[in-house]
Amino acid sequence: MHIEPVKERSSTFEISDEILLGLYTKGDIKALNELIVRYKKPLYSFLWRLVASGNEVDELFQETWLRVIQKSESFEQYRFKGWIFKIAYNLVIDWSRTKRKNLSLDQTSEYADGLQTLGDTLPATGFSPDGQAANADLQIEITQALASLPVEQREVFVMRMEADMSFKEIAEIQGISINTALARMQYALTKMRKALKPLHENSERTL
Amino acid sequence: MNCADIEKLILLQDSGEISEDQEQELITHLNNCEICCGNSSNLASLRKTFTSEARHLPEPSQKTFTIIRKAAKRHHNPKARPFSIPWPLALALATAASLTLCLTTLRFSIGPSLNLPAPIVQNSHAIEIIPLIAYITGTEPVQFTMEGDDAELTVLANELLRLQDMAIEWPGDKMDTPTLPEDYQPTTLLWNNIPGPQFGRCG
Repeated sequence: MHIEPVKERSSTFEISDEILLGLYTKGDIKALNELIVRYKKPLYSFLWRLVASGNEVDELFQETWLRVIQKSESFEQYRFKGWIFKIAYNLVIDWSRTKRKNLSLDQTSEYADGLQTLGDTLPATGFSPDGQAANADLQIEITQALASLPVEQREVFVMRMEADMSFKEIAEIQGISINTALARMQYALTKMRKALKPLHENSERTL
Repeated sequence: MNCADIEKLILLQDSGEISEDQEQELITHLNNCEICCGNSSNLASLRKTFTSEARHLPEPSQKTFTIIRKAAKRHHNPKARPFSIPWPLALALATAASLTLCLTTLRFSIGPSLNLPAPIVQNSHAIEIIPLIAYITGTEPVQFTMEGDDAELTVLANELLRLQDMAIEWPGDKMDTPTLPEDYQPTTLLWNNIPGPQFGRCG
């Protein structure tokens, strides 16, 4: 009689973020490592979109996780994702108050004056070597399009598109109603579509 | 419901926050409105562009990860110190420090006679003054140590005698035993407990 080996459940079953954080609070360091792996890309990209300086993004990323570690025992939120992005967002706000000059959120007027473009301030490490040629134009276009948005709209856009946060979470973080968050997203989308239209047309032509 | 309201429903559907009624309304509208249908597909396209571009954004440095992981470990083991001393060594160091402190303190104190190394008397009068002080002050058999020059000890001896109304003067400069009153009889106990040879060593 042939018996099929039991397949490991881990391949199909993923432990939720909230359970992983709970495991960490009980001393399981690996659980936190798993959370870091899950969120390293979205969290870092989220910070990158709001702060145009590589070293400072690293510092904010690090500080976000240090806050998560410090406050892990007092976590009572419904969703870990909303919680960690709220921490990161608050750090960006605090940081922007102290270092306004370096923050892309507050540089719209400088760009409007034609003094410099946001692309000029991006560090050279903004592109990984393999994707540099293919994505340089796209990244500059997106960065400039984002820079042209008012701060509130840009934040909503990045929270939704980069962090995949719900409008309920975005509204909670910004202290606004869901309707206002939706309206800000609508305005942001209209402007982004307009700004990225030439790029889209080119890519469609090449396809 | 106009197209602007429908766009909000498109956004809510995208975020998974749309209700069943709203979704039904959205589907009905999209079937009859090319503009909104285009907006819906445009949102998907924009997300795809954004996600594609985000893949080429930089990642946190290894140093950053190392700092975070160290902090995570430290949070669950706050007592760990980078330069902690093993407990046997700590115990040995504490014992050595206590003994040093005790010996240093006792050497220059007045207390019960112990089998300690003999104190060093740096003044020749000490061998004579000490029993006198013990007698006058009525001190129990003890072990004294004394330091100072002849003039200071003479002053001290005279002061003690004056306080005890003894009309004598300590002949410090001659290093002679003073003429004590007739009733001056140091107790046997006192003399026996003052180890003479050790006081005379430096005399």
